[in-house]
Amino acid sequence: MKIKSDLMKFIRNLSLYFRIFTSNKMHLAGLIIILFFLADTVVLQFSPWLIGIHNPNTLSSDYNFNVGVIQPSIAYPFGTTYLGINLLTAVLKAIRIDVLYAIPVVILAALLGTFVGMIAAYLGGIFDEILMRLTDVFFSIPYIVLVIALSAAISRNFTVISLSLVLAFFPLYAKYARSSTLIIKNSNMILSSKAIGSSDARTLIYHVFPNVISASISQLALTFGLVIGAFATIAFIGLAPNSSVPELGYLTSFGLQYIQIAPWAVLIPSLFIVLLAISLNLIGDGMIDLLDPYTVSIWRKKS
Amino acid sequence: MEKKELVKVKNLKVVFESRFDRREILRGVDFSLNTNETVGLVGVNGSGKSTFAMTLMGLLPKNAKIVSGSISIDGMDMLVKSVKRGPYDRKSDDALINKGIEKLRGRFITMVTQEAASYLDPLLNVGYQIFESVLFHDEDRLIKRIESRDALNNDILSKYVKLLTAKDYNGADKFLDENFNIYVKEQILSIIRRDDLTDEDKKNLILALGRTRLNSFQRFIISNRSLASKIPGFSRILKRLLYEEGYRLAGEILGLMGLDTSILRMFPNQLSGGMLQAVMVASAIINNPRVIIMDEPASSLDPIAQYRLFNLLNKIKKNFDLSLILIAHDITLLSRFADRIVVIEDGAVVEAGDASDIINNPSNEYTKNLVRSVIKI
Repeated sequence: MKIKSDLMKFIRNLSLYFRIFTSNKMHLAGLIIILFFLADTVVLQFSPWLIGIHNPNTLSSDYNFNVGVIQPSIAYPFGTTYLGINLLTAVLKAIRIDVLYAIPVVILAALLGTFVGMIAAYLGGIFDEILMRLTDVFFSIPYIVLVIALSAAISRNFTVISLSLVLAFFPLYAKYARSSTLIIKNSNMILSSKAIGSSDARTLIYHVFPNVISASISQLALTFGLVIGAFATIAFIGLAPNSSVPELGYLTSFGLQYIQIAPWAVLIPSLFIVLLAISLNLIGDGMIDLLDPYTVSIWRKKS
Repeated sequence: MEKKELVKVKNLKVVFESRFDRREILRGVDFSLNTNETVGLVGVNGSGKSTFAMTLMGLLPKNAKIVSGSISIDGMDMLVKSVKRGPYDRKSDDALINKGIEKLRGRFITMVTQEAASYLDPLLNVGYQIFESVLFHDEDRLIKRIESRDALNNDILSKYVKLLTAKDYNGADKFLDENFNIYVKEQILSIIRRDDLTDEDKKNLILALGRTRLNSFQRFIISNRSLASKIPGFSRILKRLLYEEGYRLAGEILGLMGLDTSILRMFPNQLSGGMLQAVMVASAIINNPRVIIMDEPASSLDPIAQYRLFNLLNKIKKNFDLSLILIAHDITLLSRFADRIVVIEDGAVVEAGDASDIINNPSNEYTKNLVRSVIKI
């Protein structure tokens, strides 16, 4: 009985959030695009044979040396590039790789950064200095340099690239978290929670963290776009682990060599990178509305 | 009731230091508060009233330092020698810190501040913020309330209601003491003491206490709670039960204050300033503290809301056996609600005494000005 009413409440809240989010049509467009990307990832991850792909991990199964370069046509909607790669399946495969590697990078960077920034700001003094100077070190190194250095030192594969991107992007979150923690730490809210005898750890977990994380969550989607762009850049400059990895940036750089003969081989993968980045920015925008309790309460009153 | 000194402050000196500057904010304040007493603290802006309150609560900012003096609360000395060095003054080993208060904060002594809106967490509903301090101070109270309500005997409850129907109040009180433990007693009393209910409603609510039973699974979790709190799924159910009880307790407090209990699940931005102030008061009194410090609780309220708030305080004082330290600029409000008034000027007490004496014959020039400044209608 109780479970049922809880479920109803959950559904009602969900539909309210959906209505707030889609009140701006641009946010809805972003949501639809991102849903397409996610659907592609899920299908290729669990049942790639549904859309006639046999091995989503590599491009080498797409090589069809008899075909050559063909313009976009009915048989090949996105056309083909040199060595006869069907660009449609290549792009679909590349989306999955990009999304699957970018999500863990963004989440790890956000958690690490928020944790470091929050602790630094809340403890203050010497802890603040040490932690923030440490993040400054990572902040000052361009991510491409970091990726080159680490893959040269350790090994050239996606795990190392992802971890170096985590190190490159966590300072961003550490700075966000630190600045909002500094505001919240000196706010009256924390004073009153101390006045009722709450311990430091409890204040940090129940009052500081939820208020800090709401600012970081809206940045999540933006960084997601940045990280996908970073992956593309890394592959574009030739740091992809091997020559048959389906990755949007790698496809772009691959097509660049034949741009005068087959411009679509550059334009189509870059179009998808742009779409992904735009849709994630739109979602980040919409997220800000959802995380503002004032907007939510106004909508709740309306319904 | 016997009079006892709850708070005693002697010769308290506090300085604020910055890199270039050192200012004495409190220059030797003496203060005392007895049981069941309301003491008003008056002074203009910057006279050190709020610093005094923060010193009592041990919530001074980092650049402030207690130089000398003593604070004793409930007979215990609070101040100890600090081993920390001050941020700017290297020779501040002589500073005192209010160490003892950390255990009493929220239980024995709490504070209500001005502008409640900025003191509440915008992301949590007000009900949670009211009962939050019970969760970490007195979780056992919530468990015991659930357990003892579950074990209630309906026959005894209906006997008690019969006594109420017969208007045998002395007999009913005696019956209450003999048959129920304190956890059930506080729930029954919170119904009886409400003003906004008819006798019939009260009886129904009391009988309804016996009807809220746990199911056997919940009973199992409550009785094995140390084990259940370690298992992920079970700890969630336990937490949920505790939260439900917390909301119930918060609702009882709001009911006693004569407020609508439907605000429990609302968020701070949905309530008016006066309501939020009442929420702050409720969250302060939920652990049955003995002393509440009110730092200009009414300064952001309109006159009618101010009047309501202070009436509320009087009502709470009666129901919860409290002593109040009331800090305000406005001497007229204090004259209505305070037993004694202490006037602070520039960090020192210039006048102290019974409220009526101070208002009728102010001896100090500063107090005279304060009284004169009141607009008479």
